[in-house]
Amino acid sequence: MTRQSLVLTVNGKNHALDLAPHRSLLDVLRDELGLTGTKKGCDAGDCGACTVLLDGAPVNACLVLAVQAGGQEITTIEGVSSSDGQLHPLQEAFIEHGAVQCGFCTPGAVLSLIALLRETPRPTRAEIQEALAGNLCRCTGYVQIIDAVKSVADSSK
Amino acid sequence: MVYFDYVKPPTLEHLLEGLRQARFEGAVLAGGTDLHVKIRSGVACPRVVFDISDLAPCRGIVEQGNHLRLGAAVRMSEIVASAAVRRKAPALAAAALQMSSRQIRNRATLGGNIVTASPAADAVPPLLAADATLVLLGADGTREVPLAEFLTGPGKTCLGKSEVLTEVVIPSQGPGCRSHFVKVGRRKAQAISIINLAGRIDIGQDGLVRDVGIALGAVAPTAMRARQAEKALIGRAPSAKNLAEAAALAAEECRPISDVRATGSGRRLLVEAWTLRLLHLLCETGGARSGGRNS
Ligand SMILES: Cc1cc2nc3c(=O)[nH]c(=O)nc-3n(C[C@H](O)[C@H](O)[C@H](O)COP(=O)(O)OP(=O)(O)OC[C@H]3O[C@@H](n4cnc5c(N)ncnc54)[C@H](O)[C@@H]3O)c2cc1C
Ligand code: FES
Ligand code: FES
Repeated sequence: MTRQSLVLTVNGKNHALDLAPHRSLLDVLRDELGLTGTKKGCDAGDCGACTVLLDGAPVNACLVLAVQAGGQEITTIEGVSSSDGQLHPLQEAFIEHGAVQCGFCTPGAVLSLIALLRETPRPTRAEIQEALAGNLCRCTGYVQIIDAVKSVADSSK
Repeated sequence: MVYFDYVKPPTLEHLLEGLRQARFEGAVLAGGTDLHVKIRSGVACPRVVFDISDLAPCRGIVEQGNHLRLGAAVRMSEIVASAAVRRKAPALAAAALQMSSRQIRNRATLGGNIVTASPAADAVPPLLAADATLVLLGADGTREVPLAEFLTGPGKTCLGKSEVLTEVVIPSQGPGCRSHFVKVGRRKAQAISIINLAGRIDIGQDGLVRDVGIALGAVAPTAMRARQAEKALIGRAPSAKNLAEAAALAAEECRPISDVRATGSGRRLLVEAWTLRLLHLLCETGGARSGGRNS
């Protein structure tokens, strides 16, 4: 097996890495870069806990090789708040609406929904459900999450 | 953990040469949504993977005369977004939209869905109903194989070890033609189909069925055409009685098994009910041109 050198751009920062090519983007984010906000639930594409944005599009980091993500803009949950530590409005809304219980699904869900809001600033409940289809939550029953998105969408012009 | 090398071949020639050198230990990597899962569960153990996700000859959606050509590495999200696919192959657009989740659709490719050869693969029935052909490239050059001949069993195809699927060619749907896709699953998203089906119909000026294609998934070792049902419709009026007869024939000719998702006899009932519904949708005047969601 031949290791590969590459630069990963995560949340606007470049990281030069030397990696075994079989490693998933998920494992590299967590174990090499210490970005443990991205969660590992199933490691098989089912749960969405590992959702990150690749050039703005939500993907399961467990099904992407880190070496495939070179040259692309990777956004993890650590990158959605502003540089002064202010949470993203959607994160605030999650807290307000009780959309976080155990929190394991939260980073992935927030990223899926940020991608949705960029494309569709005022989504319907059905559109929110569709965007969340790949993010399993075993605690909230989703209603609070949908309410949180609605509140952000309604407060934006 | 399975270790492997990663190669991103710049051209098809490099890809073929790489596959040849890797002999039986190379694997094509497209979206990776099947391959990575197979590697992690020990079903596949390639020594080297060849990433074709950016390889130009396997990319792009082009209208060419009466055909639509889709690169094997076109992602489901690109199919969903393509106006050409929605116009010329609406059942395929509907199938891509109903596949799994956004995260999966942003990676999963058309070629991967076909080569995996799951009897439940959602993009396959629309292609089968439309008489799609596949362009396969190997050391001896290219060959075009009808999709119906390509699939030989669950997880089995006629693709040679050092061959790749480069393109999928779909005869465009003419102006008088309609097509539709239905996925029956436990939930709307992120569920393997219990059954899936697609239909394409062309009704002539005389009101009689000129041509029809009905494809059923997850009810036989490979997705299959319901030839008896089709035969029963051609040259006849799409009356309620004739459609019901065709649906009953489709249920008779499918060969479903029982598994974790449904029993064989349950699947047969679903085939009859949903084929009937599909045919009614296809024969409706006006209304939906491509399949909606359901469960
Ligand atoms: C959570 C989850 C949900 C899913 N839901 C659905 C669903 O609803 N419906 C559905 O149909 N499928 C579903 N799938 C299966 C999978 O996403 C699809 O089959 C997908 O289209 C596979 O494409 P890929 O590009 O990811 O394939 P890959 O994983 O890259 O490849 C799959 C196989 O095909 C080979 N291959 C790929 N491209 C080529 C080529 N051009 N030439 C030769 N060989 C090639 C690879 O070597 C590999 O053996 C799901 C998978 C997951 C993980
Ligand atoms: S850990 Fe990636 S989808 Fe579950
Ligand atoms: S809050 Fe526990 S899984 Fe969603």
